Amino acid sequence: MEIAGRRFESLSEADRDDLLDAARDYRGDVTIVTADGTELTGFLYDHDGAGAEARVKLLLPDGGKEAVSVDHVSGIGFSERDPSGGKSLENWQRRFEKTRQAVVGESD
Amino acid sequence: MPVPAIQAATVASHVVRQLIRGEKRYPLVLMLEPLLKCNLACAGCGKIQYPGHVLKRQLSPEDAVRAAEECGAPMVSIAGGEPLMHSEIDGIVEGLIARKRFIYLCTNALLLKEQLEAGRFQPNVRLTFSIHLDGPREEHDLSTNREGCFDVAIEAIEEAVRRGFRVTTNTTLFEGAEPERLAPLFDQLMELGVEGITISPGYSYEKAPDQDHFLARKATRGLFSELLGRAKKSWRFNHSPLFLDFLRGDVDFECRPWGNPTYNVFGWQRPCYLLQEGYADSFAQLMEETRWEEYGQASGNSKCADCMVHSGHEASAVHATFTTLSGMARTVRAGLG
Repeated sequence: MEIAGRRFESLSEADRDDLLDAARDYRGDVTIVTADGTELTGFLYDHDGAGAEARVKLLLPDGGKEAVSVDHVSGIGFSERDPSGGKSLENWQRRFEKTRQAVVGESD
Repeated sequence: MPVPAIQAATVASHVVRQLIRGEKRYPLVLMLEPLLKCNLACAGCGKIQYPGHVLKRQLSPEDAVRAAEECGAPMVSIAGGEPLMHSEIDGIVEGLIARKRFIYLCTNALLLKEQLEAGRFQPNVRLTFSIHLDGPREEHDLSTNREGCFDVAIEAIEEAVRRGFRVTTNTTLFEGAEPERLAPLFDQLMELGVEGITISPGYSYEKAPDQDHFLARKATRGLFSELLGRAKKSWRFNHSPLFLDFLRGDVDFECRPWGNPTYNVFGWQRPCYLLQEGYADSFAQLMEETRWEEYGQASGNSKCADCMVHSGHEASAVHATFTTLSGMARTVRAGLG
């Protein structure tokens, strides 16, 4: 499922847990919405503890760190872009191959 | 030009002290990532894919020194990201030297020559520049995603050696690496006055752009066996003899991930330099609360199955050197040439 740019609300417990797993693996920012409507946006870098102790940790754009209890999470949003999902490698390999072919062609 | 005696003695006394104290798990090299930003986007690197605000974060010199003191490892490998892009990297280096740490500053060297000319660093037996070179010109430029990187790195090596700095290189090998093409490079590096060469198989970072060229364990052993079979007496490797035996497949070691603990802008990374399975707020918490039994080849963890990289396994090789007769004998034999 493509999650970049999407926002999920009114989550069941199972969907919430699945999306938090996805958020932990996501390399863009995420927005965590809590039951009281509070929103926190930052990079989710940790998801630890279990049961009632489970919490996610975010590094915020101002450099602060915040931990949110998983039980309080009611919605999750994902930034428009996942920094690990680019095409720079493919573009580079295409360019490199073109250059190499040109060099090999000249020396033949 | 081997590792200076003071460094070898410091590491040896650290290990012996840990063994006398009965420590089963002890750190050897702190992997310090003072920033995650880089001026390259290498195909095999999974370290730099983050939002802009994370890439702008830096550890302060105080943070870096605190982490080094907390962990107590005698050596610090400053990685990243590109450490020379850190606005206070000179302060970090000075702080660590003042705490008598031996530093390997790992860099792609794109900024090294200009920073040496600007006097940002002074030669010191405790400071080594470890220059990233993933093969000869064509392979390195392809791996780093930028043409011209190889030539810049070679120029920087020449400048650093000329100024009296200790210089090593680090080469990560991926599938398709050709040992016969590496041999002239290693000859060249020795002629340039490089102290030692670090070699390691690439690790399959989940977020690395290129997922198709990482080595499986059997292929790693084949490749390194062939490469080390061609090794000339003039080549100096910046590894313990047992680690080279491990790469060749002559001995087997379990990973000791706590040997190279990683500290970065998120905290103490669990369980190792390569996997990110959470963060601890303190080194003590990392050591006590990480479920170490879930990692390493014997654990059956698929993420560890093909890993043979030096962070984790070099620590095992050093441990075996001090705790086994065969390891000690192998090291003495290597020392005698």
